[in-house]
Amino acid sequence: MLYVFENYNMLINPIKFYRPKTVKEAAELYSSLESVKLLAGGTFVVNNLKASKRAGRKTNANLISLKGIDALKGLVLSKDVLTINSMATITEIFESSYLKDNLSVLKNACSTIGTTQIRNMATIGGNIACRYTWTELPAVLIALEATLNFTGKNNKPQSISAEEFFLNSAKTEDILTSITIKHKPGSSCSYQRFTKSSAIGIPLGALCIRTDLRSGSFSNTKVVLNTTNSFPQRDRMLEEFLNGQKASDGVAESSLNNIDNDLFEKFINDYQKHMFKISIKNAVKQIIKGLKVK
Amino acid sequence: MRIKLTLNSKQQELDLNGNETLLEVIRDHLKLTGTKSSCDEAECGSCTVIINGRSALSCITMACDCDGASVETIEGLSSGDELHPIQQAFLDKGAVQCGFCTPGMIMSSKALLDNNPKPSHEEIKRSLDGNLCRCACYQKIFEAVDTAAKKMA
Repeated sequence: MLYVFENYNMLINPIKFYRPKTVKEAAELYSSLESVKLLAGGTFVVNNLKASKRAGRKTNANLISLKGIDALKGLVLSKDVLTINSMATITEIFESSYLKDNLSVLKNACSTIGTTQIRNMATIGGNIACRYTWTELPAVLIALEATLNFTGKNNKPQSISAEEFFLNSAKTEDILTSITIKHKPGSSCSYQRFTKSSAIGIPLGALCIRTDLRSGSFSNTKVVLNTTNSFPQRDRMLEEFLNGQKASDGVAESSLNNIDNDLFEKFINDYQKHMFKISIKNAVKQIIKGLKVK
Repeated sequence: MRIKLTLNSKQQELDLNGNETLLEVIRDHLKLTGTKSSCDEAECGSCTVIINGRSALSCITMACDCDGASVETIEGLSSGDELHPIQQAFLDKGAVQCGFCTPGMIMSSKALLDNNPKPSHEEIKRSLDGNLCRCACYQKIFEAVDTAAKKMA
């Protein structure tokens, strides 16, 4: 039996829905249509479409869903490079068996995102492309030196680092197809987050510290802070301090004397400042503890 | 746009306009009103259904995106007069007060037990983290899921 639906009082304004099967088809549609939005997991976009209708705002006339494109699904580990295709869901990522060594931080970060249903639906591509300041992944991706791969008009691929994408607020009209991250067995990483209360999922702040270890010392360290009100910031002063430090118990405490106070004053309120200091200490301690276990 | 999906093990063919959410389709058009509409913005979990084996929020799922998908709603659980063990456990444990969150709670629980037949207490709590119960019946609900898991083992 075929059910035909009348377009009566729906929660979303009339919209033309496209479900391409290939990235090429999606890129062509995206560049040729006007007033168009891409749809990944739907956890941001569908809510926004409803909110716009409720507020009496005009909404996009066209919606391109990327869900029908098999090439954008799943994760692949090949030759020490993890490729997370942009339509991989948050659940698929944290359940992946590829997340070891430096990549294991993704398990930690992804498991704290939203609720079970949101993790089952939301995709890493949607999380990145929405460019919300409070989401968990930007700090982690910058710390892991991830590369974001896009396909644009005329099916032309291009890649930029996560740092460039978030820190410089790079805008792109292209479709995010995958995220690539190098698997580094000698690299150690810690992710910390804090919320207003345990019942509220959105983090007030998040921090990711990653370091390569050379002869028991911190090296090539990245310290990335994520707050609700700004895109992720690197604390270069703390990075400079940590590089060359021997992994000993005193480092966590001394780290707090070497943070970039200007950065903290500019972006963060007193509560966040306090919690970030605790998070920095815990992250450094966790990295050192991990080293001792190894 | 014409789509085909499997709804509660039955093939359905739908001719959609493009702007329907899955919740609107299953409640308002297919008249399967067991799935509840409450916050309509992905906060409460009362609209939870199972899509391709995973719990999902039908209020933020575009119906057109379910082409080829397998969708389970609360109506698909019982067989005739016989309740699904999770439904029976909710009754036996008194895990229902006003009952509005119950279909969503049961669908989230089913998705958990289908993937993890012997969940720990923490795993049960975590799998229901997206379902709100304003009667604060949580303890009884966790006990019901635990009882159902044991019965189904």
